[in-house]
Amino acid sequence: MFSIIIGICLAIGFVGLYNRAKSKNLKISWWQWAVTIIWLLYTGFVLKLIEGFIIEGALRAALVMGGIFGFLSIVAAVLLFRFVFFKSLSHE
Amino acid sequence: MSKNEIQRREFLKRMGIGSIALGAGLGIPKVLAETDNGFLVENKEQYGMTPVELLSGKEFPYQIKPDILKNMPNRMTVFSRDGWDPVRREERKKVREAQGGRSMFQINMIDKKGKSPNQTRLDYALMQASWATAHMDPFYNWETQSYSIKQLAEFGKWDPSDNDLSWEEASVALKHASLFYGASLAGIAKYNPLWVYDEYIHAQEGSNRKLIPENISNVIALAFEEDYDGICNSPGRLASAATGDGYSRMAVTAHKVAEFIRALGYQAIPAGNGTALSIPIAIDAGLGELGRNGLLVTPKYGPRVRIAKVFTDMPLVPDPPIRFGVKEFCDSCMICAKDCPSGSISVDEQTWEGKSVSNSNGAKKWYIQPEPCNDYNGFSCSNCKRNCPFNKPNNSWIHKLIRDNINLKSKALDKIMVKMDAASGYGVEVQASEFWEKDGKASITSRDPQA
Repeated sequence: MFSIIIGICLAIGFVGLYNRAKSKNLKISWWQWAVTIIWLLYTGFVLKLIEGFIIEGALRAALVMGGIFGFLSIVAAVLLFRFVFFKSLSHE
Repeated sequence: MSKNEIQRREFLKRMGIGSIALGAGLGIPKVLAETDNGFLVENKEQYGMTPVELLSGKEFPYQIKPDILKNMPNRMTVFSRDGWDPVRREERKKVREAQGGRSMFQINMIDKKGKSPNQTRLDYALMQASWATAHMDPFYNWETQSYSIKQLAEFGKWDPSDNDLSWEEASVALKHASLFYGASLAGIAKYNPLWVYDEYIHAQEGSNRKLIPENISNVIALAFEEDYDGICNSPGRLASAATGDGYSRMAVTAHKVAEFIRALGYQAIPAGNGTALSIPIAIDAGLGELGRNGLLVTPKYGPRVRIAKVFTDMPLVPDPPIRFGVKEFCDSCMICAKDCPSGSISVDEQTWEGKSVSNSNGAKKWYIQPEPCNDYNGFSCSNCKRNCPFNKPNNSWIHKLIRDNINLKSKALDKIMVKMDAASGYGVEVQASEFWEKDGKASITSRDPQA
C-alpha cells in the first residue's frame, strides 16, 4: 500500500515538474530529465527504506538511515531545482 | 538455448542433481551466475534472501592441516571439563568467589528477589522451562524403542525407486521431512570420522561407550533458529531461554528424523552437542560458514542457530558447501570480538591452533577461549549472536541488499556496512520488558509461513 502511495506521489511530482518546464518554457536537456528521474527514484528508495525499518521495528535505524539518505536526497533536490528547474527564473 | 538454461544444465551436471528433481521442483536453487568455484544461487527456503556461492569441489570454506587435526576427545570440551578437570574447578571457584560465593541464580532470585531487570522470576521461568526436553536421553537413543518403527524396519532397506524417486530426490525428501519435524534448515554431509569425538571412534580401554559403526556414510545436519527477540536480550535470561528452546527442539526433531530413517530400514544415530563436533559437519552440509565468534553463520539466520545431527548409513546425496562472504566480512567487522564481555573472541588473524586445551586444533580459523566464555554471567550470554551483523530478521529487502553487498567481498564496503549497522542501533541489548510487551508472536521466522 505504502509503495503505491510513494509511486503516486513520485508520478505527481514528475508530472508537476514536466508541466512547470512546459509552462515556463524551460529548455531542459535529456540528461537533466534523466537526473530528475534518478532523483525521484532515489527519493522513493529512501522512503521505502524508512518504511522497511519501521515495519521491522528498528526505529533508530529508520531515523539514522532515513536521516543520512534523506539528507542526500534533499541536497540533490536543492541542486536540481536551483540549476535545472529554477535556473531560468531570472529570464522569466 | 538461452544462456540461463545452459547454466542450469551445467549446474545440475556439476552439482550432481538429477533432472527429475528439477522437474519436480524439489529444492533446486535459482542459478544467478557461474563463478570460478561453482555457482552463485538463490534459494529462499534454505538461504533466505542471501545469494550464496555453491562450491563444486575446487574450493572449500575451510582449510585443515592433517598433521595437527586429530579427533577431539569429548572429555576435553569445556562442558565436560567442568565436571572433572581440577583446573576448571579452580577457575570456576574463583568466578564464584568474585560473586561473593553466590551463584547467579542466588544473586538474582534470592539476594535481589527477582527484581533485577532482565533477571526477573518471569525471565527465569521462561529460561528454565525452555530447556525442558533439551537433554532427555531417550531422544538421543542410538536404537529405536518404538514397536511400530521396528515393525516398519523389518521390511528391510527402503528403495526410493519403490516411490519412483532417485536417491537425489530421496535426499531432498529426507530434508523436507527434517523441516516438517521442526528443523529450520537441513543439509547432508558425507560422513567424516575426523569430526567425531575420539571416544566414539576409537575403542577406549575399560569404556563401554558405543562406537560409531563403520557403515555410517552420511550425516544430516539440522539447524534450529533461535528466537530473535530472545537473543537480543543477551546477556539477559531471555537469551538463555532462546538457547534452551533451541536445544529442546533439537532433541525432539533429531529423534524424529532418526526414527523416520529407522522406519525406512536404515541406521540412525541422533546427536545434539555430543558424539561429534557440530559446526564442521554443518559447514560440510552446506548450512553456512564459520564466523570470528566461533559459531556457524548461516545465510538465513546468521549465527542465531543451534545444531543437531543424525548419522546414518542411508546412501544419501551430500549437499555442496557454501560461501557467502563471512570470512571476508569477519576480517573487517570485529564487532563480536570488541564487545565480548569475557574477551573470549580473537581480534587477531586466523590461526591453525588455539590457546585452550578445549580447542579442536588443525583448522585455519579464529579460535575462541571457551573457559571465560563459559564462566561469564552464569552461563548465559549470547552477545556475539546478538551483535553479529548477520543476525537480522530475515524478511526485509533492506537486509537482502546489504547481504548482496557482502557477497561482493569488498573490504571497504564491509567497513562502511559495519559502521552503518552500529549507527542504526542493531546489536544492542533489548530489555526483557519489551519482549514481554509484545503480542505473543514468537519472532522465530521459520515458524512464520510468510517469512
